[in-house]
Amino acid sequence: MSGVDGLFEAYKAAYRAGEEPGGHDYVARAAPAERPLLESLIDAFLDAAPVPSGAPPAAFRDDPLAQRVMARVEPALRTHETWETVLPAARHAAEITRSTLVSRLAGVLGVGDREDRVAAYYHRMESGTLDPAGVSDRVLAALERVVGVPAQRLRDVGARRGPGALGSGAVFARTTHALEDRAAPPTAAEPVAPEGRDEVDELFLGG
Amino acid sequence: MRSAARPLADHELQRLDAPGLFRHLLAMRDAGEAEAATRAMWFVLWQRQRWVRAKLAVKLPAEVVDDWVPEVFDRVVDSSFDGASEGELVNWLKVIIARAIADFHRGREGRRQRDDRAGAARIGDDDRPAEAGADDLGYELVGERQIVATVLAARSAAHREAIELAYFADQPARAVAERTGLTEANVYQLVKRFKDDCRAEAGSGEPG
Repeated sequence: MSGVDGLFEAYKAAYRAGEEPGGHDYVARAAPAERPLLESLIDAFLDAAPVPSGAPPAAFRDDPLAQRVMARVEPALRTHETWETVLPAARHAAEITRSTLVSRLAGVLGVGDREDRVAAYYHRMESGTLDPAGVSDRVLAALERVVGVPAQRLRDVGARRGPGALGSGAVFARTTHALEDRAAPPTAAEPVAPEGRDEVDELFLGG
Repeated sequence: MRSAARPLADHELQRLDAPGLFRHLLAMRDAGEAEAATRAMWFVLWQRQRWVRAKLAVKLPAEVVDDWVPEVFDRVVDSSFDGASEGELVNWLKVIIARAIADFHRGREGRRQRDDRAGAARIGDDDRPAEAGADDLGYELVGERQIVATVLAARSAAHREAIELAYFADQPARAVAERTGLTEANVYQLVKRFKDDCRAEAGSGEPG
C-alpha cells in the first residue's frame, strides 16, 4: 500500500469513526509530489460522505463551534431583507461607490445624459422611499448587470418594505459600508404626474 | 424564487432536505421571523457543520479552521442562496469554501510579502477571515481538485458509481456488483484502474 493509500484509508476510518481528522495534517505527511492527489481524494471522499439527518441533538447546541457559528450568523438572520439592506450590501460587494453605480446604471439604461435623475431615483430605492411596484423590470435587469443581484431577487425583496418604506425614516442596515459616498444624497425626485413623465420617470415609476 | 411560508416546528423541519431547510431559513429571515430562521439554522448546521469543517481542514492549518467555519456560514447566509436542488446548495457551499480558502492563502501571502519588506515587524493579523474578494478561486484549487473529478469524468455513469461506492464509500465489492450489475472482479479492476489513473493525472508517477 502506498503512502497515499495508507493515509487516505486512515483518514476515511477516522472520519467515519466520528473523529475530526485534520486533512491538512494528513496531506502534510504525504510525499510532496503526492499531496495534490491526497487532497483531491479526501475532498472527493468528503463530497460523497453522508451527512447527518433529522433534528440536531440537544448536545449539539452546546457545541462550542456551533455556538460560534450561531453568534456570527444571528445578526444576518435578524435582518429583514429589503432594498434598503440588499442594495447597499450589493454595492459594497461589487466594490463600487454609489456614484459609480449610478453612472453605470444610467449607461446600461441608455439615459447616461440624465445621470442626476437616475441618482435621485436610485437614492430613493436605497432609502426605501420609492414604491417598488413602479420600478420597471428594465431597471432591475440593469442593476443585475451592475451589481450582480438577480433581478427576480430584487423584485421579491422589493415586495417587502423596510422601516423607511415610502418615508424618510432611519434605514436599518446590518453593516457600515466603507464605500458610502460622503456627499449628501441627491435630492429625491418629486412625484410626477403620468402625463408629465419622461423616459427616466417611466423607468422608475411606470412599473 | 422564494414563496411565503410559515414558521415550522422541529418535527416539520427534520423532514426537509438541506436545500429545503435553507430556503425555509431565508424565507423566515425575509419575513422577519428571526426565531424560526434561527431554528432552521440549527438544522442546517447539524447537517453541514462537520462537513464544512472537514473541507476547510484539508487546505487550512488546523489552528485557523475553527475561525473560518463561522465565516463560511455567514457568507452562505449573506449570499442568499436561491437554488432548488441538493446539488446546487452543495456546489454553492463548495464555492464559498473555496473562496474562504483562497482568501486565507491570499491574506497569508500578502502578510508574508509585507513582512519581507518590513523585516520581522508584525503588520497585522491576516489569518483571520476577511471580506471575500471580488475575484476568487485563485490559489491552486483548480488543479488539485480536478484530479479525481477529471479521472471520474472519463468513466461511464455505471463505472463512476461503482468507484464511488467501492472506493470512497468502502462498500463491499459484492454489494457494489449487485447494485451496478457488474461482477466483483470488474469492481476490483475498476478501482485499481481508477487509482492508477489518478496517480497518472497527478503526475506522481507512482504505480498503484
